Amino acid sequence: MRIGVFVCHCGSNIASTVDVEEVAHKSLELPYVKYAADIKYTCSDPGQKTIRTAIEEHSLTRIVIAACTPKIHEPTFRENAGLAQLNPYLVEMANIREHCSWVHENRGEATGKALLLVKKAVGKAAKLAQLFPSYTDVDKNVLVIGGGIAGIQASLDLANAGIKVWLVEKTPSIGGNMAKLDKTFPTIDCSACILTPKMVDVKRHKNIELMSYSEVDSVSGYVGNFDVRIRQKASYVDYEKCIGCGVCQQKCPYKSTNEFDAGIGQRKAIYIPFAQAVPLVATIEKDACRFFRTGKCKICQKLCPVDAVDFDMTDRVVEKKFGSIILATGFQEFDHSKYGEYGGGQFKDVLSGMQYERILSASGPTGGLIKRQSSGETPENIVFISCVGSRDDRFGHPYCSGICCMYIAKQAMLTKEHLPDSKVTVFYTDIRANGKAYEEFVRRAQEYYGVQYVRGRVSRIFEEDGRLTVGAFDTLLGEDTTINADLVVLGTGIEPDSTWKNMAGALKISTDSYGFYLEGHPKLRPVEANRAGVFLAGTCQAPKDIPSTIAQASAAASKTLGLLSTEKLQSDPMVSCVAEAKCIGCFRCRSVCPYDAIESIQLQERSFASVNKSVCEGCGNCNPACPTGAMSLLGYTNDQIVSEVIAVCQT
Amino acid sequence: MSSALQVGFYPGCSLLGASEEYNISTKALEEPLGIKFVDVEDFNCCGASAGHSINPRISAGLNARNLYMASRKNNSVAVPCPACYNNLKTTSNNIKNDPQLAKQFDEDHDTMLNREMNVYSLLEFFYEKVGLQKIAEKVVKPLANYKVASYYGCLLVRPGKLTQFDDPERPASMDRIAEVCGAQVVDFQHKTECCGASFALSNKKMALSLSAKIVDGAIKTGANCIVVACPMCHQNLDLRQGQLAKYRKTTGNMPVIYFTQLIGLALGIDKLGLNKHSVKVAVS
Repeated sequence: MRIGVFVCHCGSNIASTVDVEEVAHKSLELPYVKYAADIKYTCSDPGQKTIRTAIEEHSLTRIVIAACTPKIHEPTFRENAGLAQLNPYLVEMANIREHCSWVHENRGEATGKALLLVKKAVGKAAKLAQLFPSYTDVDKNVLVIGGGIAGIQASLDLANAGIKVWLVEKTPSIGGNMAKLDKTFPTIDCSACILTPKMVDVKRHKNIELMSYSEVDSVSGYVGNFDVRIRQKASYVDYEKCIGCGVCQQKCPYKSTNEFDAGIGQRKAIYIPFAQAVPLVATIEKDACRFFRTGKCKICQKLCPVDAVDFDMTDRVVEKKFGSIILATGFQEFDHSKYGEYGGGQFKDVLSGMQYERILSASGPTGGLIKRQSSGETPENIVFISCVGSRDDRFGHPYCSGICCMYIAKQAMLTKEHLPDSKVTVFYTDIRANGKAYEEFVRRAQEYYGVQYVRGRVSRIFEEDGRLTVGAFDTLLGEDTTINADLVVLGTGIEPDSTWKNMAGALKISTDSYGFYLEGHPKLRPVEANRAGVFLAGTCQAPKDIPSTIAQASAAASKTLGLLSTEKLQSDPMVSCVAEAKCIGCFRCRSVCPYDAIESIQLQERSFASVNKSVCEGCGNCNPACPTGAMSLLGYTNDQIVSEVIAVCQT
Repeated sequence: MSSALQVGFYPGCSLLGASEEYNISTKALEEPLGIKFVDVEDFNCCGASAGHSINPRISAGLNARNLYMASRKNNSVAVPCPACYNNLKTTSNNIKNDPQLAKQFDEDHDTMLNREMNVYSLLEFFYEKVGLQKIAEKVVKPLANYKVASYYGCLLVRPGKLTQFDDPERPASMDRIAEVCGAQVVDFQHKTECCGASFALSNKKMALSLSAKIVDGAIKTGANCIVVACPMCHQNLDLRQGQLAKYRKTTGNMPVIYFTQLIGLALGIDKLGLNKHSVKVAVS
């Protein structure tokens, strides 16, 4: 047993509070320590080289590195040991930065504590055993959940790289929220024009299997080997036969809420969601259908030229293995009826952002003509209100939705284009226009189109005699202002799509308190979820605009390609393992395992617990649950932990 | 009646003085609706606005004593004036959340303060404890000619976190009560708009202008009666109504009555103190 101790200065981060030379010097007195040195930056190239040289020259069999938190550089030090032919798991770190120099001021005391931490690490190092990673196959199929622009982009990137992708979308057509938009900022591109080619690519691509009107029921397994159950819901229309002619929806007698038009107006019970839908097929909403409700009708079936309507259809479940999963479940609009002061959803001429977008759209409920919903007249005074459902603690949405300032400017300009003589006012809180060409975009609204920007919060919208009155405070002028409006558009914010809870549960990943999926690290790992093999793309992770969504989708695809390009996946060997001789088969370990990593094996009429090394995340929950001590977490065995305690407590 | 719904009653300064009719009409509802209001004995001022703005300790002390006096007879107290209600409820919440505060009171007064007193606004008491059903059952003269605009004022349903009653932006409890009394309810847009009360003396013009907007708003929506639950609201909209004409096209003829008087009228009760109002109450 020959232990080497390396104490890092970390520049002045550690050295200014801890006497690192002293610590290195005193370490030589510890049991088994044959070599000790202090290094300016252990993580640097020369620092790493010093360690390798010491290992070779002094035949070190264990090393202790007293430096920063293992969360940053432990993998680096392990790999470095490996290069010097020392098993990477014979490395132990002592955190004398976050746990010592960064939280104490007294040099003497901090140095004493640092030495104690090194002593602890040395005690454990003496008990470390070699560990070897295991390898699993990687299934080369990828599941993308969500068929909006993020899911579409990720699917295309992967498919073009030769990967087989299954794209699962819960509504009858892909396209998501972007398909509902009229124009997109800052280019004022027609949204459908830039989106539909990609949608068609998805449909045609030989590497993409599109399952629309489908949802993911359950996911089990582990990275490289996910077992997924997908349910294709009964649409009562055979998608293979349907030619999308639309005759069925013309004659259908029953109606339902039009989700595509954000709740404005209605659509038929049998419907094609929009003209550019992919796949272009009809779907029957069972709860709205006359036949399902009363037993009479079936007009659609009679009229269908290709006999595609099938009232006996049932849900179809598909089970498939995937190597990795990309979550792209998108967003939904905030429900503005919560704002009592803006009419509580009762005022016909107060619309949400998406509702107004549909009014502006040529394919929308008014054929692209801006009309008051109450009277059908053309409005003359239009008011926009920023930050509805964002930056507001009242409804648990203190965050900024990121896109509203821009879409309000866009909609204001489009309003002026449609109705040049109208008076358009925007009541704003701040103007957040930080993307490329965004600031210039908002300026154009103000300077070229003459949209009136007033800084202030609208306190109330009054509806009297069929007219709206908007009362606000103009903070720049320092006075009250009350203006008449024919139409008010709320800059409604966004929140994660309603499926977030189910998806997070099914995939066993974390979300933040708003339901946005949690990324691996807010700065360094924005597209990985906190479970290996699951990636995130688009607004399901955080509010963002289309350019950022597409960039993130491609990033997720790129990470996926990295994962799939390895022949075998290497798994972390610091997992739990069962000493079979001690195991009594009580399976308390299984009941506390959050990852379903514990299996049961039968041998000679006895059951034992067995840990699936690829699924185990090394959390250690099973260890204290085990009554006989059969379960141990490699790298944190009872022996090793006790040795730490002894090292610290014995003076 | 032994089976009467019993509750403490904190009249505050107004109900024994300028807003006597609120008291009269509330007590008149005891018998028909089976309620027993037990006036808080030897109550003190709640501190109104001055108390809590000058020194929160004064406000806490004043109201802790009121709660103590009320607790000697009942576990809950109904408060007709929203300002008193706000003060009492704030103190009651503070006592529940801050054991030190209650202990201080215990020591100062050599007694044991009830930590669990329930404080209701009078409207809340009628809406939630008495209930619409009970009121509906006793209606003998449905107020078919009444088109009611319910004015809630500022402190009755706000701050939402404190009152936890009705909706702070679009309240409807008084409207529902008016409906079970047989009245029509108009789509009144100024339910919680400021009447300018706090500037009644220091900036009279502003206060009158704001109050005028409210009455005007009621006229515009076709109301022939405004219903309130607050002595201050009543004063600004009724007593001063004659002065409002200068600011808005108010007729000066819009009766403003307390919701307890409205219920009383529907229950066929005579003595409701309606003659004490400035604007004559005559709805045809």
